[in-house]
Amino acid sequence: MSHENQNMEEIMRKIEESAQDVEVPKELEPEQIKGKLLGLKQKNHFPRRHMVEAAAAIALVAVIGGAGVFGRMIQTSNIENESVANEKQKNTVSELDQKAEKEHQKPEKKKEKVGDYHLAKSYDEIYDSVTYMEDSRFKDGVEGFVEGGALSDIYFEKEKNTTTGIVEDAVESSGTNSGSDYSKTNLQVEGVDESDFIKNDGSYLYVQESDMVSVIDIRNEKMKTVAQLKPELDLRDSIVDMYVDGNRLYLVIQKYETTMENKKDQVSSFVEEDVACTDVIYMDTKTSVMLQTYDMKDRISSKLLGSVTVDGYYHSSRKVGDYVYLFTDRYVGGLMEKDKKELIPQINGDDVSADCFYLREDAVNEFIAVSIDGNKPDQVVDRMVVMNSNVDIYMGTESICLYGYSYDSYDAYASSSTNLTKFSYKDGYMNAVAATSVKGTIEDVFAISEENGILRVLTTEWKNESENRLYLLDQNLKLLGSLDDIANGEEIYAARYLGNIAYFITYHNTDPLFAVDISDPQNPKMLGQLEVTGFSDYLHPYGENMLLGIGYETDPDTSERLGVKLTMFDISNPKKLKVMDSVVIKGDECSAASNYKCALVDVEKNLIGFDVNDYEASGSDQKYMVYSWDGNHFHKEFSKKLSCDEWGKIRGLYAGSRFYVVEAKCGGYKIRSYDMEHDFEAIDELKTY
Amino acid sequence: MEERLLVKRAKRGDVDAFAELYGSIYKKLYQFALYTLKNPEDAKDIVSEAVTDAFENIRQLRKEEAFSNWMYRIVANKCNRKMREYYVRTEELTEENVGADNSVTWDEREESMEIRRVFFELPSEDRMIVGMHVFLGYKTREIAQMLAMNENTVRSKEKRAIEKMGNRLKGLR
Repeated sequence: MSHENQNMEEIMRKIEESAQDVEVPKELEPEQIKGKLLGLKQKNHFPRRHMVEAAAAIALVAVIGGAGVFGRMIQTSNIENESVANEKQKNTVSELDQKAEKEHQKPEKKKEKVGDYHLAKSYDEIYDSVTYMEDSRFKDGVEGFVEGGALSDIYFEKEKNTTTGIVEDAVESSGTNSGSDYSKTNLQVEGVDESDFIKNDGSYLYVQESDMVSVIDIRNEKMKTVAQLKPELDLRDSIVDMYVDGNRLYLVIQKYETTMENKKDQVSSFVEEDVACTDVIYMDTKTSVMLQTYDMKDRISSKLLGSVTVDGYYHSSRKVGDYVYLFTDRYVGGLMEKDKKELIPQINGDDVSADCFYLREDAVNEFIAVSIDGNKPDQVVDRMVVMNSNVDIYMGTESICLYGYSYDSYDAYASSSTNLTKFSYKDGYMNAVAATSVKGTIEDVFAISEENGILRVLTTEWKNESENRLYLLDQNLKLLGSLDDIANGEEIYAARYLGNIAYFITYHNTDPLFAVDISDPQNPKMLGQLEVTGFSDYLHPYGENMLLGIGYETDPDTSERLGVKLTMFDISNPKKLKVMDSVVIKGDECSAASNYKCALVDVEKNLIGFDVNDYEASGSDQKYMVYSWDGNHFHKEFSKKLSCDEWGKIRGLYAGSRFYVVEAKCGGYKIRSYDMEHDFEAIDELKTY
Repeated sequence: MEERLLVKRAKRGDVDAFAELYGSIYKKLYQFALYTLKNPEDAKDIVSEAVTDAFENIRQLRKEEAFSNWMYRIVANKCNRKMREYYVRTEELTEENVGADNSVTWDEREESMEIRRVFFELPSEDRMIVGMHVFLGYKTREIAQMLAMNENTVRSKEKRAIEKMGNRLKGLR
């Protein structure tokens, strides 16, 4: 080692040493962090940037000097008045008949018992079903006492709201892009619509940001923003999801409302004597999710048709026909008994009635499901509160399946199982059907699927050696048949049920594709398997007899990633699976592999679109690529550099002969268009930021 | 417990598993953020935000990627963004700002103090580069990738920064 290098090492070591005695703030200690994370909701592969700062029910306690309180209180009441005014305004905007609620068809009575759940008979029963925290919250709170000035400023600031729509000049040109020749959001289940930050109807693109939706006319070569819809939002609120259906636009908005309460009497005993204390303001955050429904008949202006507000954090949503199913989560694990009334969530300001609660022992979370008819967007068709620990959701065309996990013990090698609870749904009405549990956990959103009343579930169980299984369950979740001992030691990476065959990928060092015949659900049969290097993380059917895999090539010895890999499998004979062609693209990451909404796979148009992120290159090397399939080979059609600054917020889409690449940038989006008929020649570019 | 299994648990929403993963690296995360930003409040906020981000998005963690690397990346990106913010505001914190903040108990030890002082005199970008190397164990090539810089630029920047520190330290003695 040269002297110079030695010197460098020495200084580096000293820098490291000098930091050893830096005191890490208490708030960052793992135990403290836990409290902050409890009640936070994990995102299901689809990152949403605007919810990150949200911490559930973190209470701020503040001791305020007398003089300060007065001024602040006045401000508070101003805000309240303002929101009342807003509420009034909204009501006049709504064109809906308020009487509709009464005339609405009554739902069938909810099933009383399903698995570990039973329907609550009264609020008292709900109150008795949870374990409360000891009354120590105030004590903890006292440590965080701050004097007047430090009271969260956020509460008192109020952002100016811009009401709906800049209106640019109307362009009623006879567009070239029209009809049904356009791409839609890539869905888990055909017929069950999913939200996304961009929607395409062939004539317009709708792009959702945290505070607005831009409507972009794409009927002509030159893209044009014709409207910007800016809903009235409070400072911390943000739009988190969107649906577009014909003239109707649905926005999911995450709301945070700070509540304040004077709890002077309750905490005074904890306050040290030398603190001059006149009031103790207890601040809490109430979170709710709002679904707003707009009419955008002419695309230039928008009209709020109605909205529904449900307590909780946004979990997910689906849309089937005119019905939006909205799911939220509420963490109730840290509640004290005296606050037990908080267990009852509100929908549009009204408490949910007891007979909509499915109770279970030791629940710490409320999963709230509501349905809204787009034709009556001011009210909820049906509602349901399922008390559980933490669930994911699968929604097929006939039922909603909640799945959560349980472990035998905290030991990592203890066996795990998946609890499944099935609910039927139709025209907004939901009802429990059955519950069961299976061994292992669901590793891919496509590993669970229902068709013709049969639920198919692929799981991986982690024990000393992982075990994979396929379960086939009947309408009441009774076991029809199963297949065990599949690829022990490996893990399910991707799955797809096509007709009578279940295809799935397991991976450890190499990637076998399996095909299982499930035509006789009592007797599933392994038909074939094919081993290739690397693994596919996403499977998408390509025409009748082909299956496309998007994933990675890996070194079979070291498992090191070597690149992004496309594989086309020949599945014409499931007993003799074949690889027709594969390509490996230099790069480390492909959002389409882990988030199906990032993948564009269109057989008719012969388009396979995805992004590749290469960390190896000096500088950022991110690109969007399009391949086609012809003559049993992949062909590269297009490759364009990206500069997306948010993970996974990249989409490729088309309308007519134009291809669009949309990427998140600077809090907005950059949209570029290309001519597919002329070798993807660049046409236009538009930025919403 | 094996990291891979802890990650699996964390992906299922297990807060304890997440805290265990985090517990093994949080000091480094904070040290890095503090040394890069020179501002204890911002450093704390960034680590705290990163934790929330990471927990909420852990299902995106690649199956074979190490949790620590992923977490480092989140924090490094956040620091990078924060630095740009300082730059835009053209009020990068001066020595006095740091001195004025009493929320961090600086150790009395002379040398550590001295090293820190000299380190804080480096331009923000240099601090980040050296910090990524020293606290997060990144290699030059990786730093280059993350900061979208040429590998050679990173290498020479780092070398010069350390040299500068060496000279300053000599001068102080």
